[in-house]
Amino acid sequence: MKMNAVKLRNLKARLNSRTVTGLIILWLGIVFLGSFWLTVGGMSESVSTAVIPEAPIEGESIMATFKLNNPSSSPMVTTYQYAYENPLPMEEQLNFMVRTQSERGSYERVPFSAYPPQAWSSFISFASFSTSVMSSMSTMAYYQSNFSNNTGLNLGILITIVLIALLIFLELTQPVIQGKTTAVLSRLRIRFSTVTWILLIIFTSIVCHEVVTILAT
Amino acid sequence: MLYHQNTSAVQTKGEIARGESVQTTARRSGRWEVAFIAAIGVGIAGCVWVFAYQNVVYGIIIALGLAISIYLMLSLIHLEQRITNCAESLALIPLYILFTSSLPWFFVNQQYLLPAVYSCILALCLWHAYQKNLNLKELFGFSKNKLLKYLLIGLAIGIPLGTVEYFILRPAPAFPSFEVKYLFRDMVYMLLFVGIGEELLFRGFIQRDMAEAFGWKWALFGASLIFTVMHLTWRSIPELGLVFLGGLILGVLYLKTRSLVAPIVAHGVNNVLLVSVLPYIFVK
Repeated sequence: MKMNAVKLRNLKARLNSRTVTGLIILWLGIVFLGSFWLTVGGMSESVSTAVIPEAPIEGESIMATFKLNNPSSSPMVTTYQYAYENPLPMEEQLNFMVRTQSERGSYERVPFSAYPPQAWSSFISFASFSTSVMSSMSTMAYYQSNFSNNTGLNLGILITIVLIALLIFLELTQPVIQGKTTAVLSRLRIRFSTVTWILLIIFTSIVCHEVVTILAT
Repeated sequence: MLYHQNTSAVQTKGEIARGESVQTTARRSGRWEVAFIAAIGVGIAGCVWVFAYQNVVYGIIIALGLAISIYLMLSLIHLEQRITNCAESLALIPLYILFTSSLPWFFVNQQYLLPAVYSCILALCLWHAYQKNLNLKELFGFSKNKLLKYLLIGLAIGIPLGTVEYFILRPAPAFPSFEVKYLFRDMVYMLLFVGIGEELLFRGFIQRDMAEAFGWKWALFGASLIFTVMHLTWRSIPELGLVFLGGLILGVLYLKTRSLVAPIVAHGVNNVLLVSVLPYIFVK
């Protein structure tokens, strides 16, 4: 009796832990989507930065583009572009700051990355693959050249093909699993489901990107 | 179409008993088993190298191929549970490379990039824990009685580590002047996202599963080596040396405390000092 009670308590603890883990995953999904949502929301601010010069090249001028949102004027959005002739030596950093003044008060924006490039490469950046890779990874050019490229190897198509193959595998093996327990197939299905989920999220982001690009053009 | 199956059909008793101890006495592993895990490590190193130094597209393809190959091998070949656990933990790395390098991050405001990227890594790690039916409390080694002690240990380790790293990297201040709101924001980012995400992956999964498979010495070395490999792109020998040393220190901290709290705090404090405090004190 005592053993059963202990087992039951352990089982309950594990079930609770699974629920908590599931809830945390859900919240992380909300954080992930929320970051996109906040970015879109930020575009309605009085000043938004269109181009962030992160890694200036010696001798080349730096182009910074700012958009000023003013609902009372026509057009509502005015774009300003500044060309800064670059006298900076290598490894120096240049910061741009924009201030707006209106009846509602002043608004200030410092448009550059949240962390200096060196910091990305430190402990914090293992996820982002360090300075050079991170700064290029978070640009539109990186994504478009690798995932929407019409010439050469298109990662988007490759990922889609692998995703389709995995989905077909999961679909075909379902009746086999229901018929009798096949250990190898069960293990494959569970492990491949993780890969499939990741590919599905990537595929969704590719589709969203394409839709946005078509709408924008 | 996608099913999250009941994992109990696949899990064995060995898996459920995993949370008991970090310093599990490892049985002698076979030559092929050691070679298998070593091959995964070499595959990860090769993938990062290609990704960072050769071609991003090939790097992502290798990451995808590596993850699928590991899962295929694990499903087709019968290996001991502790080796399977170890390989599955290592497979999280190519998965995360695939995940984080294939999303359109340029859509996200730079201010939110860090939590957005790390929420993916954390979700991947927690999904792994969910599938393996691991207890989070056991996984983190959370204990109310020892919380203050671990916090202080984390602080004591994180402060000197962050200072040394600052003098190696010398990052510029992120904002024109020091502001408390940015300090708080960075503290939240570094502790809740970066600290937990990286420590859970490297110490909570990789080091722990390696310890069960090969003993704690190899686990410490292996996890720190993988941790260093992930920083390969920095192209700085002193920084790589510091990352390896940092990995060893955080690994020992986890080993001694049997809790992720102290390594998470040390990691977070290190990063906060590096990014949000020291650049303003030692401004050029």
